[in-house]
Amino acid sequence: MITCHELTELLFDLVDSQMPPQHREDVEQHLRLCSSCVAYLESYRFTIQMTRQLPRPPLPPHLAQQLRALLESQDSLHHQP
Amino acid sequence: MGELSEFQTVPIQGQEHDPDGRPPTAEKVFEEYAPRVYSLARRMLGNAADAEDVTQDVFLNVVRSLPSFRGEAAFSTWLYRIAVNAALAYRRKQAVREEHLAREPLEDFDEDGNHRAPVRPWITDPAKLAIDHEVQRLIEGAIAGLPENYRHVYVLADVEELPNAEIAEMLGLSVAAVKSRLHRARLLMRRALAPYFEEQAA
Repeated sequence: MITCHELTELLFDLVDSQMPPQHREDVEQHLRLCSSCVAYLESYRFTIQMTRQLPRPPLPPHLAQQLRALLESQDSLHHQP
Repeated sequence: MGELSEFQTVPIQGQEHDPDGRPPTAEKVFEEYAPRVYSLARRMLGNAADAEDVTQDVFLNVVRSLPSFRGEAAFSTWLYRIAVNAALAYRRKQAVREEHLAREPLEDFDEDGNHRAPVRPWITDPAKLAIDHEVQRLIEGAIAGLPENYRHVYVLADVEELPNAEIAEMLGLSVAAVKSRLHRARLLMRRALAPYFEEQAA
């Protein structure tokens, strides 16, 4: 049977559904017998799921003002006769 | 910045195309894309002040370069490449370099390759996925604490959800190297977050 260490190295392919068939059986067998690796797999997945839920930080107001000023200065350059 | 010339002339292979092949207006860049550039730079660089500098540089250069945008690629792909390039260039200019070698994330195995101590299940309540400010702060802190090389890949892959092949091209890495770094980054993130999410022992 594969070790916990070896299973950890296969997590990436497992969660990205790129697991080669020959490894899938090894992984499933290990997970049936190892509650630690079940917990590890779930927490690895949850970490990714939480990261994907992160909202974008808003533009700081002073940066938005600076960008707006840059935009206006570009506009005025383009509109010079 | 001086990093834009290659982007102005080299067509980029993208999956989406603007229907009319025309660039967005400067106003749209400001409204829609400046926040994306800022959040990408802030997470890649790990602090707000550097991200503001990079956002200004990118914004100014993009607005000036809009007339040369050729529409072969999705505008967002073009912009991401410019932003990532600018963030990397900014980092290169800084004298202080982080230590790139991460602590081996797999240290909690014994010599037989088994978990040294039982792994505690996490409280993976779906309600937590509607993450509150406290959880956001934890995750942002964990991302900021990643070694730089892992952080860049993690931000582009798991925050921005860009394809591995695109990330490889942006960072000048092989796809295999991107996958390897992403896996290590996820292990480090998992370890950083574990104390906050593990079920408490009975």
